[in-house]
Amino acid sequence: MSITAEQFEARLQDFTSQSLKWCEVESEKSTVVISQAIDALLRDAARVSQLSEASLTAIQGLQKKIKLHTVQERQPDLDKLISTLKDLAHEHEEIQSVVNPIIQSLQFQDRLRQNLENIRNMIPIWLHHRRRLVESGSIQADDLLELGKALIDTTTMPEERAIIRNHYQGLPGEVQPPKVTLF
Amino acid sequence: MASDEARRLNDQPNLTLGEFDLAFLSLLRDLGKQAMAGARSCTEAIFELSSNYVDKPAFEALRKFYDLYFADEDLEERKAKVHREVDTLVDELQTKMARGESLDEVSSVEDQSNNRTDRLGLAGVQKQLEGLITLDEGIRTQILPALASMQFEDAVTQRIDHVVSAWARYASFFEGGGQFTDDFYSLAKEAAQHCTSVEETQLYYNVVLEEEAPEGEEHRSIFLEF
Repeated sequence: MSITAEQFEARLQDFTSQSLKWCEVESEKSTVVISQAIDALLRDAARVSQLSEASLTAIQGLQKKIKLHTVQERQPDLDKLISTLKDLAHEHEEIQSVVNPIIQSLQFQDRLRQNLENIRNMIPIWLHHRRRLVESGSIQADDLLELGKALIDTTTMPEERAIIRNHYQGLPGEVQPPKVTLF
Repeated sequence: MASDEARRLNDQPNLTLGEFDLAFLSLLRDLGKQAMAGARSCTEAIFELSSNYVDKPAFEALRKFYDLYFADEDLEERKAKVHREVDTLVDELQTKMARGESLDEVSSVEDQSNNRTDRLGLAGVQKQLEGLITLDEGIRTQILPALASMQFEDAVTQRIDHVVSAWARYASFFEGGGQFTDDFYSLAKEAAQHCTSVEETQLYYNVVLEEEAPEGEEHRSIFLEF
């Protein structure tokens, strides 16, 4: 049994891709966990008895929305869902301790999914640049910069770009969105 | 590596392949840490949500278990240390029993008090949780979301760590004088030893080694199970 460098690279890339994809799929199941938590909350008679009728109805409505996303097995339109949850927390102050962690959990889950997806996409880029440089026989600082630029193009969040800039000198700074002045 | 090292590399006219790889691998490690922190934040949010309804003793046990389990950054090393200590302990007990000596004093446990605290602390709290779950199905339902979230964090942390380590091993092979023309089977096999869950081990063997996981290997599981 033998494995060449090319085979090992290709197979390890495949393993990396499948392993991180598994993590992404698992992270999307957090809506199931949230749904289970709301179920448990609604079964807690003592806690439920402290809630007003309106708040209880709001939590039950929230449960339906989250279950709908889970049942349909699609990546929820998170912005819309989070916006709905924020409205809910604003309207019913007494359920903020329930709604706020749900909002946080959904936001973190989305960020984690993006992190994993972007890491998955960066490895083939590194290997591609690496292969080219090995063939050319020389590596210069500009080659690092070129790789850094290619990696930045795969990102979706400013935090990721900040980390890349920390490792690759000379990359352009974050582009600030234009300010709109209303007269 | 961070900005100082990046600056140093930028000032060099020529770089080695090892330096080129190191820049990327340390980036990968930092991005991995960011993702792990994200998984941790998801668990924290579910804990906060659960605190609304989980009974206080169960919640405290859960929190303690979580803190003990994830307390150390290098969880793999911590687990390995605990497992090594248990192996040594068993060996020592067997030797003493074979010699007909007293089992009251077992030096390996006394000598490694930190590991002992880890093992007993974690095992003790896990037992406490298991007891609560067994005694009351209602508590199990209450703490299930938090446990599921912990399992998710544990699995994701391990998966990311193993992916980053595997690539680091590949890159360091060349740093150690390895050539592209070499056989990578041994390296691939060595990396397999770092997989932990059943699914991950099977995936690695099937995809990278293109063989079935050996007897016993496919039954390894993530530590945290209820």
